[in-house]
Amino acid sequence: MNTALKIFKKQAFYQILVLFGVLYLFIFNYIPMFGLIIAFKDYSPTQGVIGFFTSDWVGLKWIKEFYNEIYFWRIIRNTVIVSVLNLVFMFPIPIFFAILLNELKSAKFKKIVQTVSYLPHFISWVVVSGLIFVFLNVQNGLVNDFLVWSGITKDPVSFISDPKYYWWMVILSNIWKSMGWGAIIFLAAIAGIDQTLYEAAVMDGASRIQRIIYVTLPSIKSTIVIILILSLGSLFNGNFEQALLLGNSVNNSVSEILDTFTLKMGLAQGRFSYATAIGLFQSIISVALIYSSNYVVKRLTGMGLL
Amino acid sequence: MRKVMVAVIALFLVTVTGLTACSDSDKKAEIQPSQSASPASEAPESNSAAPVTWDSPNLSWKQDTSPVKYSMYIDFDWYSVDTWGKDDVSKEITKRTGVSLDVTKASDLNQLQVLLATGNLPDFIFTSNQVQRFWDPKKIWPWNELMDKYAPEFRQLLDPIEIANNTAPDGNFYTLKTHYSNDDQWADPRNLPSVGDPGLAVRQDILEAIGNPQINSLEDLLEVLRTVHKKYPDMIVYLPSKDISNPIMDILGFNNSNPYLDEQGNVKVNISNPNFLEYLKFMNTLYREGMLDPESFTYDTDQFYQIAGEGNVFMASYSTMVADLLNTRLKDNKKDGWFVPINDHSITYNGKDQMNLTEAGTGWASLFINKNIKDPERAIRFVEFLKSPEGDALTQWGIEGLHYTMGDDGLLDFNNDYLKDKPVTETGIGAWYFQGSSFGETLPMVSRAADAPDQSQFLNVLKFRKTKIVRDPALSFVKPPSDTDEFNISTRLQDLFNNESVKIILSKSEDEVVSKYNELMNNANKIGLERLNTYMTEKYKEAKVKYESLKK
Repeated sequence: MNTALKIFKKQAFYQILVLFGVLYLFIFNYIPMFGLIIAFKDYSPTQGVIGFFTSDWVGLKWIKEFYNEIYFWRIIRNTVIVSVLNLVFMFPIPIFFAILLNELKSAKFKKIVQTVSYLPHFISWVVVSGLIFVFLNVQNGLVNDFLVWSGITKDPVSFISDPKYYWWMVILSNIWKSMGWGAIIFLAAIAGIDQTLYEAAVMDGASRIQRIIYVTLPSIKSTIVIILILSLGSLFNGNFEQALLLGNSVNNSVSEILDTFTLKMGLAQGRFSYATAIGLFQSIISVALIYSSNYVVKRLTGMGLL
Repeated sequence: MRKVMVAVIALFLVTVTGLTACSDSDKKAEIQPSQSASPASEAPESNSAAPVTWDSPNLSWKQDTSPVKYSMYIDFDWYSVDTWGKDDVSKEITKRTGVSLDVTKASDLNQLQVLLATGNLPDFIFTSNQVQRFWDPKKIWPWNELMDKYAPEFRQLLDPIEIANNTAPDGNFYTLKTHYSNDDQWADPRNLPSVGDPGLAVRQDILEAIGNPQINSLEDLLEVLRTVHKKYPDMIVYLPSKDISNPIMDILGFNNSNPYLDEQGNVKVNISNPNFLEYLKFMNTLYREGMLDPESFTYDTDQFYQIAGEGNVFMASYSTMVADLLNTRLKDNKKDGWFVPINDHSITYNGKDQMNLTEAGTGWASLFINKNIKDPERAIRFVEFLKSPEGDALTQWGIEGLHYTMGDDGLLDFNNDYLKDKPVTETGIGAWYFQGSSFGETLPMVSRAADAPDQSQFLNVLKFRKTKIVRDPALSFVKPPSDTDEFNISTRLQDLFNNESVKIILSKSEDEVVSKYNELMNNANKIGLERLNTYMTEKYKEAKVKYESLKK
């Protein structure tokens, strides 16, 4: 005990810093969890906060109602697919991009490319969805005008409404928006690699590709694993804004995800119990996904979150 | 719907110019023929010898006009104003009543539900969403109580039917909905239905080029569209707007959100209507024959106008003002073409006029008074002013003499020299309508239209619709209250309707339409379609009895 206190005293400054973080987590992440109780109650907003305690218990009524929704499996499928696609594409592409940037010889060109590539990160999804409309719409969209003018297609393509293009639209717009920003951290990691390793590799006759494979990638492995684990933490979020703004009544068979459904059928109708139950359901699946992904990553790399 | 209506009115007001002025300021009594309604049966007896009218000198709101400030939450993110005291009308209201408001406009339509849950409601709440949640005497003041305590004559000035329209199951009325017209007001030819109702317009110049065929039925319409498609293959034959109920549904006797009353007196959800399948088949035919682009179901209103205004659309549907608004757009874009409305007359299907415009007609938005308001006496008296013909005229037409004068013809002559290029945030006209009547809302439009007939084709649509509308206030009682199983069923059925209609329309064959429709009906039945229909019919019949006894 005495030793623990001694250690604490020694680390007091850092411990206090951690304490703030723990307090933040406790206040904003743990206390609100108490609200999950209404997922099992017949709560109405008119009852106020006191209704959390006084409303009737209904057990799993809302979970059952959600499970019995006609679109239940479709929503789950869409959420999982969008999440997995985002992970599969959004995780490796910034790494490749960072490596490519690193290989550029002209520092000026490298800077320009880097700046141009991360600027889209600062554009909101509302603006991006407007841009997508301007480029892709059937009536006077630039892309369709070009496709028809050049004879690549006879008729304009319904990119915005046809469900079969939705996931492509989501992934490509996400890549465009996040690739440059995501690459910054890897560029920083690459910048920290000891240049003598490259020099030694050159001396040993390693080609450019071999230098990337045997020097660059192993040197930034720890950064890659940390970013992967952080990505897994938000795996089941499905990118709500994107789904809300790019989804429409024609493509909603693929665009409706748990978050948009919760907003539409739960919060917008003031059905807080129902919305909470769906949110809880989503959290449970998220936790299961994180644990299983963490297990896989741990097996593959020997490093894990848990 | 109201959002659309306000938007189209705003657009219309911008486009219409050239008004002339004349004056006659003593006609207010004439233009409000029935605001002096008979007293409500439950109202307390008045002690005064002379019958009380809206012109009586001792109305409660006139007795104290010292300054008082209330907070107000406006639950409409599209609302045109959000600051009190910056415009002519709100300044004038404060001058006459002493009341000023600290306004908060919704930035998110889910915000109010959270305010309600946390108990942080402002003094006044103006909303049309989930209003049953506010029918709670612990949280909201029943107006009947406030009137009896602080403004006894107010109740006597109200139409008992209007009170019945707004009476909650607990016997209280917590609001009087805006934009209501009683029977006398409705009978006035200057009072018209909502401009936000569905409108269908075609290009007259193209119609003339193909021999000016008559469009008196959906079958005629289909033939016309086919001819146009053949002769003008690059033209967009039909551009619907997703933001408003489709006029083809309207012609077939139902709409996209409200239940309908069938011939046997049963109230049913829209998808129960047998013509729903006919609508899907008709739209599917347009799609399969290349006359309807699936992407049009994704356009928001701005995108709709942008595309329709490029001069390459033959038929478009939006509100009743669609033809006028598109003509202005074409003119602005220097494009040829002239749109005319076609749903300004009867359009049959299978040889029969199937339009069914039986509607509640009990009004729109609700104004609630928080139980914790610091001065409920002045609050209800402020409401009395807003409800009075004087308040109605001030909030919806502006300041008499400054903004308008009343013409001999019973129409308003707007002072265009003063109003020219002034936005609503400066004039405040038509903004603070917390107790505005539908007559007060439509009169400015009818008045302006008289000076700009070529931009007022919508009036013909509204006049026609008025001949078809049957007002049945009992229909306003069929909506299930929030937090009930029936409400949940209703929400899920509406979601089913919204999700599946477009998909069925985009089927590859008519057989596929039928099979997908059958699947939809199966799903609807699983959700509880029959239970909801039975519930609504029962509620309708109960309300009908109540209204019958009121008539007696």
